Amino acid sequence: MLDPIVITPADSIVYAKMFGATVILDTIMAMTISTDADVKPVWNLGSKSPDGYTFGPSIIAGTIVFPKTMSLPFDELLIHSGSFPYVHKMSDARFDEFFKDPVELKPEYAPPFSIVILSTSEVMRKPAINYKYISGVKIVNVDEQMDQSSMTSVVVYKYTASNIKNKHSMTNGRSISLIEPTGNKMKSSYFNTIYNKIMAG
Amino acid sequence: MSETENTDQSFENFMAGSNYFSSTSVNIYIGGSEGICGSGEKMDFSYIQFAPQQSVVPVYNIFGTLPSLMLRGNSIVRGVIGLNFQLATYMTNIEEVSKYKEVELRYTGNISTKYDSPKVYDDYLIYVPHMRIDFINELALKPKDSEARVVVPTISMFDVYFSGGVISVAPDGSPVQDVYQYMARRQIRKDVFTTINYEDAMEVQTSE
Repeated sequence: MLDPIVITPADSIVYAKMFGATVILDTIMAMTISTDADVKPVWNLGSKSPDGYTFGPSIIAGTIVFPKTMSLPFDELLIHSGSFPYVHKMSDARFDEFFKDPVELKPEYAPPFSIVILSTSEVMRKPAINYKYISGVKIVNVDEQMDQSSMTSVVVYKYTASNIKNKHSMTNGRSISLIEPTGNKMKSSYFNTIYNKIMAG
Repeated sequence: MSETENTDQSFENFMAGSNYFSSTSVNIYIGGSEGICGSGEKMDFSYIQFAPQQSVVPVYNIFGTLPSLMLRGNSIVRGVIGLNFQLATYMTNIEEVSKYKEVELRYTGNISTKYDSPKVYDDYLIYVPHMRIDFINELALKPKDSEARVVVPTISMFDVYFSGGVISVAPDGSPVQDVYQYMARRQIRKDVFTTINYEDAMEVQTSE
């Protein structure tokens, strides 16, 4: 039996995907991901213990922590998302931030984007990769924390997200494709038919 | 081996505690057929409520306290359906959309209906021949048995007339609701089964 492979933060790279751009969030200090589903027990008359469960809506939520910089990281990311080429680094945007106009943007009102976390480990018998694809990431809260006794001031983003997929693959050196999770497999295309017709004039 | 010891080895028994339903289990379709799970066009509704009404008239004998017989009167199905407002013409475009999605929006079942496709009279009255509610739990489960089945309760309504389109807005950030009332000529309940097929499109694909 293979030994379990432990993934450390150093083994993981976090990407943001938005508006067709993919950016490495290489300045992330910490990140949490929580999933939650509203599960309700069902009792019938005469039952003491639940006879079953119903499954309510689910949500994904968490935090992303950046070091505090001159401008807020996601403000910078959102304002430059159109100009990021494929796998540009977040830190590259930081280096020239003094030369840019001040950014005044509320990430809470930005449209949802995706986050991909790719993880691997150097200590494996066969090459393997784990990815977590979080789609519909919506920033809901921005919290700056500064403390006299702390060396690092941080910006904490709280987010919710719609879908998450956790996968791993033994790649054997072959490429893998990442597919965005959409959640609702039976999603309606009725809306799109009307919408596209209106857009086409 | 006793039946109790064997309980969890049957897929149906394993699923028994999951045969209750909530809003996440409810999928509403227009078109398709009664009793055929997933047939028709899936609609983005956020609320549904309906009440089949059947009047029953007791007939009394002058000398008795109990009814001598019960007469069956008129019946109707009344209901309310709501959607998260996306387009002003989401419902009123249904006849136009049925030209592009003729297969999905056409009624293909065995009940006699006035028309077999949706018809929009005007902004106030919209007709659909068939609307079906499927109650299905999409559980994160990959049964070993590829023929594993689950029971899907379905409720079909026929000759459905929507009216209204009441817009309701609250200043708390919740989605704007577009609420229609409807009447249907007939309702049929059917429990059917469907075969679980959890082919996972999100599986990592490897290529040479």
